[in-house]
Amino acid sequence: MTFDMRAVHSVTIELHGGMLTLAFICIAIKVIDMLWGRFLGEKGGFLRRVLLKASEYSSPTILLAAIGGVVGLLLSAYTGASLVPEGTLQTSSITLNKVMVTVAATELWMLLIAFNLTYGEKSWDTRNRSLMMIFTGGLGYFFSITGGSIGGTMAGKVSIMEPLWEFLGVDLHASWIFPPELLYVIVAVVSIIGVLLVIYSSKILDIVSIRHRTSNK
Amino acid sequence: MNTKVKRIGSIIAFLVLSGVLVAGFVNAYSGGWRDDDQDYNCGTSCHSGDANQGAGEIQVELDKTSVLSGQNVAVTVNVTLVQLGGDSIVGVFLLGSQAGSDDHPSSQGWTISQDPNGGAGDDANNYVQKDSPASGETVTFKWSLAAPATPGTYVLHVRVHHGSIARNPLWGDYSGTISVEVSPLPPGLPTIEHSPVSTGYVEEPTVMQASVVNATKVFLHWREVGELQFDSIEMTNTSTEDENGWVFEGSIPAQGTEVQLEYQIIANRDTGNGPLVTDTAVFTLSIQKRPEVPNMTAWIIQIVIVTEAVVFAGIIGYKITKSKESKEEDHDV
Repeated sequence: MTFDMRAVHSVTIELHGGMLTLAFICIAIKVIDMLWGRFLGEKGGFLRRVLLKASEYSSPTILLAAIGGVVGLLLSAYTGASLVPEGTLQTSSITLNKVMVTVAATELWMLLIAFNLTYGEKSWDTRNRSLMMIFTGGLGYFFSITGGSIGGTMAGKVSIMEPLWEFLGVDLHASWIFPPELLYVIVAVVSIIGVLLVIYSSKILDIVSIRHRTSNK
Repeated sequence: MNTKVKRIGSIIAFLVLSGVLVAGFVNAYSGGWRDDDQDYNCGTSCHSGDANQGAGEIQVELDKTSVLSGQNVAVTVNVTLVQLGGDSIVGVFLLGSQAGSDDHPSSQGWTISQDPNGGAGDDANNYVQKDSPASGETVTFKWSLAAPATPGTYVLHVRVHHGSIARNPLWGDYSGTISVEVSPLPPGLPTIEHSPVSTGYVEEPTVMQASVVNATKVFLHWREVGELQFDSIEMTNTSTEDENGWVFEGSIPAQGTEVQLEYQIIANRDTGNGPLVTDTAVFTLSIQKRPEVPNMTAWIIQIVIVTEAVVFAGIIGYKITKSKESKEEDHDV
């Protein structure tokens, strides 16, 4: 009997795969609930009541599943790194793509958790908060399954997303790194846009809070 | 926190952690092992029972049934499966016995010089998986083995896995015994020590090196897989002194496209009473495009951009939702 890290890695894959899928399904339930409420109101009888109940349970489940998923993602990254043949971590494009996509997924899910912890059960109370949850959860889930698909391909298994990659003409083995000259431009543009947006949104907040303080006086 | 809740939490945590650790000792893989060194019994525990039996055919060919100690013999296994699994994998074991342990050919003194997927030296395996294009199509596996040092009659066995009607279709079948006669090296016969090269690159010559004893001339032969005629060059002695053999070098010329080649090294010694000749097995060489080495700095910068974008999105999202709420509160006031 030998200890095999691949088995532990399989467990961590199932852990984050299952948890993040649960979180995504719960986000989808919240979206359906919101759309139903907007277009059909309280019509729907039993189905509506079931949806309302499911939506109620979805809110805390999203947070728990996202936390479990991120823990699973980090464990999976650790166990997966030990399975990559020595010396190929820095030379294999597909491995670097996988790391890049996993980093993006982890960060987006962490953002969702932070947002959810900030607003608690009120995370879905306004349109903007809901959009924030949908954006981070949806994009985070997309990157998670993309990472899973790359991992499956690296392990020599067939990924169910293969037809999608084929349709989109995406080559998982090709390098997804932009040429350096383009990257410097992107860094500059993203940084400038980011700083400007932060200043702009801070201004909005400041103006509003000044108004708020003034009106309170 | 309530003591009871803490206790239940601890039990659950313990069970989950135990499960994770126990899973590390589980050796069964529904999708098949990767290429590895395996014994015969790996092929029985998961593959027994009628439900796991499919149908197929194994053909085994040896390039020679008698070899001299240390010389190479090529074992070619053609597998045709009637049913394929969802993963379309065919896995083949080359074994030295059916005892269930120590079945690797090396236990009988063989050395796997090259496995069917190009693994050579320490990376050469006795269990190898290949993708099958379709059920009914023949998949070929070719091992090159260096014969044991001790003369005698040796047997080899082949087992095939994967391919049947079960969920992860499996087929355990056995080729029967393949016998190889190993004779002692006659005095003065040239010997060749060569680590097979499995990969070369397009537009680059592939350099071959061999350590040769008792030879006056050494030749490198190569051809495209499927062709009959070999091209040939004489290899050059690049060593200045005999260090357990003379080092000979030769190159297969650069190929313009990706191609599968076969090559062989042949050493001659002219004795005056006719030449003494030794050859290696015919090895497989895959000529591929040289993989692009990723730019690590650019990769790190790209990850920083992704992080930056997520952080900005978070800050902006938070600020905007905050400002909207403040506006609404302002409006209410």
